[in-house]
Amino acid sequence: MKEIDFLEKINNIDDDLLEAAMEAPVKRFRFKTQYLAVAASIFFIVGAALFMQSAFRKNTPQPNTLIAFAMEGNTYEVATLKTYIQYGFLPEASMQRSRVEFPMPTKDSLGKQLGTVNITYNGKSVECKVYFHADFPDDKHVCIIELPDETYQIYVLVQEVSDEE
Amino acid sequence: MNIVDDESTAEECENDTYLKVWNSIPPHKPYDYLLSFVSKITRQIALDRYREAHRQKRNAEMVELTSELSDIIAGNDDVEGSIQETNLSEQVSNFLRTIPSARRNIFLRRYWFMDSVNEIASRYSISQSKVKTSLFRTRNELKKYLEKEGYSL
Repeated sequence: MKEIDFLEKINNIDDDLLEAAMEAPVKRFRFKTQYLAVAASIFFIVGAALFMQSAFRKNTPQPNTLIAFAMEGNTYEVATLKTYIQYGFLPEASMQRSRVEFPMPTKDSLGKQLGTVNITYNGKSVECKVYFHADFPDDKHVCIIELPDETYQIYVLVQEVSDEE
Repeated sequence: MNIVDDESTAEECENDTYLKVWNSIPPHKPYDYLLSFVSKITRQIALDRYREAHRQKRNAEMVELTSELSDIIAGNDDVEGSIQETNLSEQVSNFLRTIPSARRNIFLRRYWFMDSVNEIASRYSISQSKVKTSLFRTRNELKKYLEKEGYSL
């Protein structure tokens, strides 16, 4: 048998098979390899960025959220603009300004140690030293805390334990 | 057109098809498979035309197509008459039902509709090499199937 004879002899293939072969093929969504590679790269980059951001956050000191603390029964709150002006750290004209640069205390601002206080820092309880302000060496109404990230913050006494108690 | 490779001959085949369909529809009543019924007539007419017109000269596509079939056809002229057309078609149909539909359709597009490999590849959105591999596997399986059924082509 010749090849052309074979082609002729299979002319009566079952109709249903021929009809199926004549049907327009269903267009399948083919996810091309290059698109897959691009998607995988984007996924990897985003994942890496999120991971690094998370790791970076862990290693970065949390911003100081210590608004108030109690020491030896006295309650201290973080110094406000009014306090800064009252103690002469800022000029009175600062009150009228819309934006004020608060002068942060430095190591030179520290007076003698007043005590210690435990604060929660990065999820851990940390003991911080509390100092008098060098400009007001005996005034316990204004003090400075040395925070674990080696920054300093001014606090003012808002509620004092009375001597009778 | 895939068989005769000539537009005017294809048009003649089309006209002959209309006539033959007109003459054969009343007894056949192919309500369910009209398209395949017409296709079979067209294909047979085109193959006859091809035989007449290309006894010396064969078009490149058909040469390639028929050479692929040499895998399963030994070329014994003496057995030609012993195989009935309907019988071989039936056996090939039975075989095609045993393979996955995707491979079956590729086989039919190639050896029944005489599509080129490129046309099949674009039709089913697959590569040409995949089409060739599919055809190769199907031809080999068909050969084994036909031998098992007692055919020696």
